[in-house]
Amino acid sequence: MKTIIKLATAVSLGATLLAGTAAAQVDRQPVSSISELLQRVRQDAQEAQAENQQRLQEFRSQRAQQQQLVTQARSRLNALQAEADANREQFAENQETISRLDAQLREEQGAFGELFGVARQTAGEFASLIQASIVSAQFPNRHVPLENLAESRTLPDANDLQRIYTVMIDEMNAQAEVVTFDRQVVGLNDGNPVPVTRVGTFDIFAMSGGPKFLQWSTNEDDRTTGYVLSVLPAQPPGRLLSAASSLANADANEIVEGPFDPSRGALLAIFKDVPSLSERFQQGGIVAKIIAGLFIFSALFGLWRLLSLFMTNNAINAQKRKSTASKGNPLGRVMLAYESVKDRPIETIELKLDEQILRETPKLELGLNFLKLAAGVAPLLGLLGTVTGMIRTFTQITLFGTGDPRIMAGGISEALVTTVSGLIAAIPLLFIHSFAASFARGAQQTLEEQAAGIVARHAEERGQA
Amino acid sequence: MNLQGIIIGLQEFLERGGPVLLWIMALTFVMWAFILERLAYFAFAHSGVAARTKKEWAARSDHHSWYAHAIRDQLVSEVKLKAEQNVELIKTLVAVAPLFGLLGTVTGMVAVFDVMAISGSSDARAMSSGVARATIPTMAGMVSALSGLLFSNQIERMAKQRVHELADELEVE
Repeated sequence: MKTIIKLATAVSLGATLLAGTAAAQVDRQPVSSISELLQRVRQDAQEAQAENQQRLQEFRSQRAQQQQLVTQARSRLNALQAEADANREQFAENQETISRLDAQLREEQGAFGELFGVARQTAGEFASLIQASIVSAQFPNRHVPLENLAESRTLPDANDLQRIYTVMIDEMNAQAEVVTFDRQVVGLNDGNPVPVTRVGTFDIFAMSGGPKFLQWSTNEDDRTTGYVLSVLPAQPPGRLLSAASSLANADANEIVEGPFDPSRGALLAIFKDVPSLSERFQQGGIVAKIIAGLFIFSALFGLWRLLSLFMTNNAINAQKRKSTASKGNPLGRVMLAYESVKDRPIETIELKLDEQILRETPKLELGLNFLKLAAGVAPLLGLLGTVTGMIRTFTQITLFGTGDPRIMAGGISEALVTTVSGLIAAIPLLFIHSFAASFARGAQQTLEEQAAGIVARHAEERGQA
Repeated sequence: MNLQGIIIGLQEFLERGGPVLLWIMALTFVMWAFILERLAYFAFAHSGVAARTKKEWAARSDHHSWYAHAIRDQLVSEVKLKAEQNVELIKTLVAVAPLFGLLGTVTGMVAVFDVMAISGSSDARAMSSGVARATIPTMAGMVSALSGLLFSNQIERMAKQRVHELADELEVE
């Protein structure tokens, strides 16, 4: 039952839409059955027909009036067409005048036509040149008149032509100057102006808590923003920075060493591409990390051994001068061993001393072999890294060919960085081992060759006393 | 050539060799300081030490007991320690010098490849500074090691010989 009512409502809705705007506006009772709907449709059709009849009659009664309207419109059309023809004629005539005048202009320009062309071209080229020059940081927007000249359709006058070469001379003059002025620099001093020194057209740096080299560049992604001064992402080495600061602090007419980039900033920008120490270490890959780990562990261990051997040596030297033996050092322990057997025959004493010395020796030599091994293994690990790096390089050559050296650079960096880190690890370890070994040998020699003598001396002194 | 010219030439040489060359220079100075110290010891100080030892031994009346032998060993050993002081260190420095040269070689090669990576070309002129950094320290390390090697062997032999001579002179009955 419900579905039928729904269907009926849908049909009545459709009928309402069909009945046209006038009927739709009338608020009518909703239909509740199909027969009622049918009746309603018939009734509407009758109404529409009656309305049509009425309109037809109206049109017929007004026929004469319509005719008159048509004739009026026709006469208006004719008038407008005549006007259009007149305008077209005028246009053609004007075109002809323009071309005649153009020809006359060309004729009267004569050789000057070429001159103006050259002037515009030069102005355009020079405008972009000085826009990119760092002198524009000091005199902003000086390229605008030249750019206007290059793009204008009118003939340049004498002033315009003169401006081209005065700007050129200004630029040449600026190449020979070292000047300091205040400017805003992106990323310095919260956008407030800082003192900026310009060396000709070659380089530019700011003094804001130490010298900082700047670049005069556009945004790579959005060229419409124009040129701005910003800090170079990677500063050149300290030698150049100190030259810059000595130049900035120099008195007028004083001759000092200053930074000079003949490529107008390109060389300074290269420092951005030079990898830093940590980037280098990253290039070394896993082998460099292993070497670093080995180095740190062995160096700490070696320094500990060095310190303890040094202290042992000091204690032995102090013991040499004292007749009372202490348990705290190897020589003292040897002397205590003698004390325990001093009344026995010489052979027994000798054996006892040798036994105690043999007991002390391993303690002195503890870890020295490991240090030697670490110092030997570090360059070998470096060599391993070299070979794995070369394998990577050759894999890349196999895949991509040798066309671009940059493709191979990763593998070669790995090869060289690991070799370097192997050597850097090996050299201090060698020194540590050498010092530690000489301390250990000194102590050992003292025990093996002098302990008996020291014991004998003390015994004799006591015998005499 | 005047002094200033020599200094400028040396500076240029050091600059072309890069930082590793400075290290090698420092190492060579230290090594030669130790070598000269040893030579001076054998030339001037050793005879005094030996004479004092001989006098001490001659002052003893007892030259044949176990105690006397032990004391003689100690006297010889003390002189030996003095004579062989720093010899091991000199030998280590000699061994390390070519390693420093090798370090220079590799850092120079890194510089060469940096140039290749940045410029993307294999222009020999652009790479020459890296090649100089690679080759000059290698040569310097070799020269340093060779000069030290000659003397370190000589000093070691001299020390052994002097100690042996002294031991022969301390007579046992």
